[in-house]
Amino acid sequence: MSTLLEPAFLKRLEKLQLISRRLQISRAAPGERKSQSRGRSVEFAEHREYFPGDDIRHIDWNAFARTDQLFMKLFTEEREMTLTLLIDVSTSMADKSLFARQLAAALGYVALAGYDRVAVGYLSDRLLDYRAPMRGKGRIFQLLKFLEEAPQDGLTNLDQALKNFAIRYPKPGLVTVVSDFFQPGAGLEGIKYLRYRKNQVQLIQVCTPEEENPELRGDLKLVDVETEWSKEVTLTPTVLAAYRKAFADHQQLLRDWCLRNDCGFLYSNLAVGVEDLVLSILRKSGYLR
Amino acid sequence: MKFLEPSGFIWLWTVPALVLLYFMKLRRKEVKVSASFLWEAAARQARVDSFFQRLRVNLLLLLQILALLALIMALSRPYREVTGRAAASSIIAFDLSASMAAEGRFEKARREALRLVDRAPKGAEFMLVGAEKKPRVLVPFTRDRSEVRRHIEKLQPKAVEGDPEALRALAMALLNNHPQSRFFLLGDQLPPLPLPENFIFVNLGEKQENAAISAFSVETQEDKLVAFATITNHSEQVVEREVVLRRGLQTIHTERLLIPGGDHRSLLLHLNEARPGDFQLRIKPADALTLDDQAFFVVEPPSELRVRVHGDNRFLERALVALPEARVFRAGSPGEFQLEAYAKPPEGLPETSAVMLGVPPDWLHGAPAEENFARLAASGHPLVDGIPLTDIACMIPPEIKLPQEAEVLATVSGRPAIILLSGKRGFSLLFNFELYRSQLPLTPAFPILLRRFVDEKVRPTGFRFPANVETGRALELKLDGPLEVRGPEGRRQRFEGGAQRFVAPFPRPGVYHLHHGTEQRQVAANFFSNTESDLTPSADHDTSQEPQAAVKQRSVKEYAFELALFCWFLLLAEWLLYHRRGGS
Repeated sequence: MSTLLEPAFLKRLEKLQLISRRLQISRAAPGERKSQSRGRSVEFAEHREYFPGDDIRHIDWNAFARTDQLFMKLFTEEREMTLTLLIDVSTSMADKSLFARQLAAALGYVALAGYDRVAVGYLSDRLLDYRAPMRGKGRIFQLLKFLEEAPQDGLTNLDQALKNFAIRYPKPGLVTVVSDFFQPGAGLEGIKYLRYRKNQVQLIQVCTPEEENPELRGDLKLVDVETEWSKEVTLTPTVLAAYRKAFADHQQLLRDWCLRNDCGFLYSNLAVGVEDLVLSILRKSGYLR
Repeated sequence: MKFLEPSGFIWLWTVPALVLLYFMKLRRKEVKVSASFLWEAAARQARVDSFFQRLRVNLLLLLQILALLALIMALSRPYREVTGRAAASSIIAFDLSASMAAEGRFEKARREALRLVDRAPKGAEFMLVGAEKKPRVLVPFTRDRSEVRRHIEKLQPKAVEGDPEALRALAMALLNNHPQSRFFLLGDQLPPLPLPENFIFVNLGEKQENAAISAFSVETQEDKLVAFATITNHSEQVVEREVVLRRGLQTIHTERLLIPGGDHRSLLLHLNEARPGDFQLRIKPADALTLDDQAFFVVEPPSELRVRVHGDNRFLERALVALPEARVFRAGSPGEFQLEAYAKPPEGLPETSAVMLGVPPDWLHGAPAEENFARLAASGHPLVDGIPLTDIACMIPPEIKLPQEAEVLATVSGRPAIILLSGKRGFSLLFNFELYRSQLPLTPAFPILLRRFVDEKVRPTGFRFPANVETGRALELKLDGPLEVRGPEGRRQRFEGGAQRFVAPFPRPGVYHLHHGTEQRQVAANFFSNTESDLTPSADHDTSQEPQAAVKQRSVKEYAFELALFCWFLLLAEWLLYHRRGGS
């Protein structure tokens, strides 16, 4: 089918569904997602007092019989949701690109199978490319084709790239950012734009085992893959420990910010396969069910 | 501390070289990283304890300099002189001479040797030396005590006279090669002084009474046998001995002798017969050393070489008569003689062994004899090997044509002069020149040549040797078959034949029967030694050193191995600290 997804894995994905908190998606078409808008559906939401002009079909006559007061039955209106997958394709993601695109393909398929709309954007130092929302399982091939042709270039500047996205596509939805977040500040300024646009934000940090726990030794010249920044270092256990601490601090910065700002954060190492990540870790974290 | 190889310090130049190399810029391996900002942060943090980093770097340099210095020191082989308790390597020399066979002496020596072995410190080495006629090393240095004990248990004294001078020389040589060893002589005779410092004489001699037969022989005098014997009293007191003379098992004379202390008595007995046989002389009663209380003598039947001379040649006859066993005849039937001597060549070649002056006429071929003289030249044939033929002038012989079975022993001017011819029943020695016109009969070469011809070709047997020998003597024989020796105690010993020499030892006094093919000989072996028979203890020597005590010795302690080990540990530490655990 594709190099990104195996048919057997696809079958298992069909049983999953994205979990979203109530979204401010009033302008969206009716769908399977509960919205904060009250409207027509079978799922009861709450009562409110009757005001003149209200649709009398929604008066709760049973409540009137019990209380002699008119109450309106309000139902949760189900709207469709747009899942926007923003994938970091900067040079630092070269080793992790396949993993990121596989993950995006899996999540996109889950969304399409759940009658949600799926959009995909590529990030580097700006929003490189964007595929408008697609709907329906039949669009999975377009999604996969778009993911397979992903570019791989540029510096990491999530602040700028996310800002670009938020400005150009202000419609709120579930925005999932897949990146290594390897930049000073971790791109939090850009994420703030996403939140400002009332997006439900899910950050998935992807790293290689070597990035998390480097096994470098001796006298080395470290060269940045993106900026050509270089530094000659003698890697002692102390230096390595300092790196590990910096890595953990950087991750903690993201984690804490997400906690405070009602964003989801998930860290995944490449050592964990995409299948395990989707079928197990994302389900446990409440991203999927 | 001193150094055995101070030239090793030449490598000291490598220390500044190492420091120089250390401060040269390292060529670093490039590694691509994604999160450079994290590495920068880490490097910033690591710089906080840069003092310790520098210390680590310097420690590495220090470790390497130390390792290098240790290696250079090891190459220079440092040492110091130490004094300490040695692991005591001991050379135990057993006096195996005849006097040690005196009652109790050798057992005492064996006990003392075993005590030495048992009480030696752990790790001690032992060497066993047997001091018999010529001292020799029986067991080289070994730590295997059981092997040393086994050899000590097997040792026995021998009927030989010791050689104290040779023993002293061996002791000095051994102690010179092994200066930390001690040489213990377990014996009754102190070698001549001076002795080495580590020579310890364990005197086992004690005052014991002994009378000995110091001479015995039986000779033919005017067709009668005369026995002669000397009995010596090595004690201080007068002793009385009964002297018994036997032929075979038959006692033919008995006599009692009173011998003053330190004196001797001789006997001259005229036996009214001339029959050959084996004689035994004994003195009774037995004393401390029984080895010298008996003596033996074998009188052999006379041996003769019957020679018939044809024609007149004074030189030839005189030479033949000079052979001790030769009986020269001028007439007789051919089968009676072992050797025919011809002053002129006979018409046909003789069937028995012969000496001929001249060659058969049909051999003459080519130039005749010349009046000129020239010098003999030996051909290198084994029969003339060593005989001084060269420089003997003789007339140039005629040219002859030799038959195939002839061998040239000597030439004159390239022409065969002395020829050996092998016949059906014997060999012939031919002289292709006139003896009268030659210097040969006037030189010792002529009788020697005849003697060797008779020994090697006429009576070709190596089974000839004296009938009376001394004990311990090795008999060297050339035999073409096996030799069986039956000793005085009936013990048989067989020596295989062949071209090699046989060695038939006579370890104890007695009559030995030797069998070689159909021939049989008797040999009497005797041990006469006043030195060994005199059991008077040797002069006291400083034996204050307890044999089993450890000695304080000066030695050299080298430290090269320890330094090399230290160097290895340093390199191991450097590897552990800087490579295995994360590198620096």
